[in-house]
Amino acid sequence: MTEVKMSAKDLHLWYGEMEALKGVSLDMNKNSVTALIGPSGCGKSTFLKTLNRMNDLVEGCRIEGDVRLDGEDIFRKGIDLAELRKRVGMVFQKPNPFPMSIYDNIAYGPRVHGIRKKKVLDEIVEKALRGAALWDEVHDRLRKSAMGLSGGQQQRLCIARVLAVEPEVVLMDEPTSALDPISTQRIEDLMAELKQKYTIVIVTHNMQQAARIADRTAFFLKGEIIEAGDTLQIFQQPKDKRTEDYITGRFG
Amino acid sequence: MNRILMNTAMEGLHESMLEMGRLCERGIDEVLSAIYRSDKELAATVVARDDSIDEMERRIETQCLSILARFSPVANDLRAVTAAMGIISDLERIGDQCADIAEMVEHLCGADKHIQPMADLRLMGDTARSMVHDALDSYIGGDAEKAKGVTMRDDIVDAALERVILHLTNIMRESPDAVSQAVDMLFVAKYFERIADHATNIGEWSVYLSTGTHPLDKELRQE
Repeated sequence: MTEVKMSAKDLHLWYGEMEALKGVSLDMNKNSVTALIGPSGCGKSTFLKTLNRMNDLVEGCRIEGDVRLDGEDIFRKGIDLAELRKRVGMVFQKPNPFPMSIYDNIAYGPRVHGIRKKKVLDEIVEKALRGAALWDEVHDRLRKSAMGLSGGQQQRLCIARVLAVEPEVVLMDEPTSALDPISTQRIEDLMAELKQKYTIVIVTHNMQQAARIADRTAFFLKGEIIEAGDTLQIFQQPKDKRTEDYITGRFG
Repeated sequence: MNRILMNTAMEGLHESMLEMGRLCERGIDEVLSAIYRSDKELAATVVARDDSIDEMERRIETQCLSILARFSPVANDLRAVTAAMGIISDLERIGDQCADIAEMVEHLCGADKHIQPMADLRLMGDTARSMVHDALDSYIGGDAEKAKGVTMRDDIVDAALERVILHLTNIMRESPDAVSQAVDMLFVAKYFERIADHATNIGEWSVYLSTGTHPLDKELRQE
């Protein structure tokens, strides 16, 4: 059974005069990975950031259209943005651990949300690190600085940090582009596991990665979705010539 | 993916396939001539050529695997490589069948020649050869319409086979001495019919390349 977790309908977004999204519609299913692909500047990252309203922070940004989480409008008046971003977490291209211990990195979010008891925090930290497949590597140095971890470990730490606040949707903006192949594989394996519990939306420039991990793929070009569908269909038999040209390296 | 390197590799693949196709066409032509001219030496050439065709199949397989490994092709590119692997196995079978026919030439053209090769046999051979040619052309050019033309011509060959069978049955009824050669001739005709079937398969791969759907799939779905 596919259940739509998040959906965008006729979404327009302007940065000042520039229309970065020109009427984008996309359903993102629960317990599945949706990949957004397309050349630089096509609007895929902008779209991703709209899903937890990170674009609100950009000056001159104007949005029209409809984005829903479990059927509820995320642009409605009075919505609690902190709550929205807790439910829709984000992992960025470059691992960005806080300059503090591994433990405190993970406990940061839960503490912000008011959890103080050490025993509860301990449990959350272990669960999140296990969820991000990092526990075995760091459990004996939780009090050491997160800055001492490798790039791949740092990225999994950032994923753990998102998991610690128990999100429903995890947005990933090119999460492996700064990582070596082994770390990349770890994160990809992790995504396959995470989708059992979460809804994942990932922006990737690596088309083979989209082909490997995504259930559905959407191809963006110049602020529009040209084609969205089952990943296998997109990569075996795209319907639109522009999709075909992009994924076979004829432009982009 | 590096488009320039990929294009070069695909061109190399197409060249090899055309060469393999030419070897098969030559085999069909020569085995036909061998039958009509009772030319045993020519028949021996056809048998010998089968090894080169098998060798080409292995070489092209290697080319396909190398493209898959180096470029991880998708969409049209992926279908082109998949189709190539299917097509060469049909070409290899065509080579085998030419050799099988060639091996019967000696018996058919012995001192006591009871059966004259009929015109329908030439029609079958010529049609099959042109089908192989056009099917491969349609694959290289991505021309699905041409491929459909190939599939249609298969009916010509099938109809000719029925006439050949009828003709040979009559001969066998009338002259028991001719039975042994007539049976061989039946096989020859059947092999030509199989060659046309393989050409049809190649045409279907070409349709798959252009449309993304193998025509067989559709037929199966209708059943």
